[in-house]
Amino acid sequence: MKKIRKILVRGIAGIIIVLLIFSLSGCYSVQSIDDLTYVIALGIDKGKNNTLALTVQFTFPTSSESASGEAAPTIVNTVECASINSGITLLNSYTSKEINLSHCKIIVFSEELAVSGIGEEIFTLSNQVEIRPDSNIIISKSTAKEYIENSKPELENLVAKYYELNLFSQEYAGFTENISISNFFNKLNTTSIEPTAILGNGNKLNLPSSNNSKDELDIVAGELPITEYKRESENLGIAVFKDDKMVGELTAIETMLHLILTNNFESGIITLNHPLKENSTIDIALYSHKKTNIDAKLINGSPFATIEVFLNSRLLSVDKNSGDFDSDEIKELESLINSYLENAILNYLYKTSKEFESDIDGIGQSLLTKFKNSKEWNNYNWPQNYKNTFFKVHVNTNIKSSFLLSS
Amino acid sequence: MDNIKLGNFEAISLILIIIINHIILNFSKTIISATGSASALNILFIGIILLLFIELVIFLFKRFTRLDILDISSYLGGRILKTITGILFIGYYIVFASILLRTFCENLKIIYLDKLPITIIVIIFLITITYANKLGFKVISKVNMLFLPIILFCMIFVFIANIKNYNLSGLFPLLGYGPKTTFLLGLSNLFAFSSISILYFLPPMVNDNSFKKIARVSTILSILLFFIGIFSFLCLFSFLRNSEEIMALYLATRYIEFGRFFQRLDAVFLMIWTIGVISYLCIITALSMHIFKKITNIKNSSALVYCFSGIIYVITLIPKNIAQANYIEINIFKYVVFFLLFGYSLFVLIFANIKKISSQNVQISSKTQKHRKT
Repeated sequence: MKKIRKILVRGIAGIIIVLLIFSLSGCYSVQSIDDLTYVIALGIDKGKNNTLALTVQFTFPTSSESASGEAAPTIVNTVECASINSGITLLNSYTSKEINLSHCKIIVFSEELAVSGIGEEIFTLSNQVEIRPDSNIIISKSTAKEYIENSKPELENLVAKYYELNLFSQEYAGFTENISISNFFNKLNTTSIEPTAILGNGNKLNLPSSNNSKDELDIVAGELPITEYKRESENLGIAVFKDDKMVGELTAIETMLHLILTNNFESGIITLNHPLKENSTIDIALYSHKKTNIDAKLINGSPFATIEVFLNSRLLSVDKNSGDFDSDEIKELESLINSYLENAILNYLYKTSKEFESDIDGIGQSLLTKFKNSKEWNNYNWPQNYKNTFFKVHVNTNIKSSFLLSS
Repeated sequence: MDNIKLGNFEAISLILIIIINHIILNFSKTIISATGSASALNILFIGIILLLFIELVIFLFKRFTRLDILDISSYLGGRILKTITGILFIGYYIVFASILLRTFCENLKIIYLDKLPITIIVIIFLITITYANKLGFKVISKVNMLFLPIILFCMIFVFIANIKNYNLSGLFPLLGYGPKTTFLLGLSNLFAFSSISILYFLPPMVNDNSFKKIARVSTILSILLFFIGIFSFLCLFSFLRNSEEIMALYLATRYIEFGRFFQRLDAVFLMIWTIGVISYLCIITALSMHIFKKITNIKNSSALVYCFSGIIYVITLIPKNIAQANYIEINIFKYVVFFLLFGYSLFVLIFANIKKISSQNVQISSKTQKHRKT
């Protein structure tokens, strides 16, 4: 009897296992890599006949077989749609493979759309499990479609790699910032700091000759003075948001100052008039030294922020007299850099407070610590009060040395 | 299970695995939504209260060596009270384990298994739980002890690896929604430490002298773990606090990256947490079976596992969606924990102690009367 029972139990267990193998292994509905097509860039414009125009850039499935040195081809499709999800569904019915967003490197919004608000789109994208939180968010001064179409890498074979590497110039140039969708979304959800996005342009501007009088670093995306180029898209500067609406843009030098204030600065170069030599300029490499200290408080109901910046610097322009700098001349040079940066930072901060009314540098995060509870903070309404802020900036720059020729 | 002896680390592991599961399954988010930026402060405050409560429980168990809450109920109110206590604890364990299982399965469905029906995902978990329970409680606790360090390491790793994303402004304003919410209404956050319910059943399973040590160490570690969890969530992205459904800890793993090469480590963590959830469910089922066995006096409880798995399966599928499961978790769980762990059980212990003291006094007085007569 026991033996029969044992056989019966084992038989039933065997049948269950076989059933489970076939029903749960998923072979009948398996989804392999061949069934998917990967989006590497997503562009969102205002639609002509519908709310949005969604542009997607796919990698060509056989790109790995392309000859070395030859850029891998990509496919760009655009669809007019009511929302991002409906756009992807419409594209899904067109493409022969299922669209997958898990390798999407950049999300591009047109400036036209960003000005009217992109909160809904950001929430939709952040809610997508497939979208990586580190996907970069770019606001294009041209249409997003133009930006994507004109992003033809010159030094890379793969567009995806180009998108990834392109923004690392923040580390050595400091004229743009590597801003991800999670970063944007996070700031969108707080009241103590406003969001920013990378400023791009997919249609390089033909600069009029009058623009030549502009300061070299007083430029934004599309104004980079490169005279010979193949690729028409570029990133330079930052798009400033108040809540989910774009309210302005930062130039190259303002971007560098923004990076310094938000502790994201690594290194960059500025050019000043030589204090000891007439009609001559001096190039100075700036390096991050210590974290910027922002102390904001309320004085008679008005916000007052004291900002202390700590930088190291090296002299890049040298001549045969550079080695003869004595300590007084070095100090004079340091105070020149300090006063230049103090003025530049003050102008920049008042631009963000008076013109943009948007606290993109997190002054509010310092002020927040002075409030006892959330009710007091909410009643104070920091986003509306930022425009009343007064600033005091103190820059401490240490000239370490120049490079090879003098120290 | 009465004959089972647990080592100190094994017993502490049982309590810690529950706390870890509570952190994984968004309890910290519930705390943050109640007390806002003051949640870390609130955890420290209720941590102190919890330690005092545990000292009280240790003191009340002092007169009942090697007896658990069921034995003490039996001593106080006979078989009826014992049965009531048993049913209350079984109901509490099974219902909330089922709800937590549903929450985790729904999260798995959202993240990876979007095409698999929820019923199948639940069944896969239940097959594992049933099989593990057939092997016995000792095996479950040993395996749990084996996996706990790995699960613990992974959780701490998530917080450390995200350190570059920390922003201390999340801790301000220091008093959150105000002192009343932080210190008075915030007391309801004690529900997060519901893992201490295991302590009520531990005395017969551990050495007489170890109980105090286990209770204190596990409570301190639980407070510490929750504090680290809450502190990290506050300092991490603000939207983690506002995410309605998905596990905040999973969202935090999506931000871990080491350079451009090591990215998207979330799948590894999800696999390890799945082991954690299975371990937790196995312990809860084994404990429920143990209680049932005690109140019904049945000799062989191994076949009970099928009944309990079936009950868990049914309860798991009762909520129509994850929002309903979350509602039960947040709004009902809190009060049930308060009633059962901090109210009912405490009263049983207090009255049992009073009965014991009075019976001892009666014994002493009768002895002295006898002594006088002689």
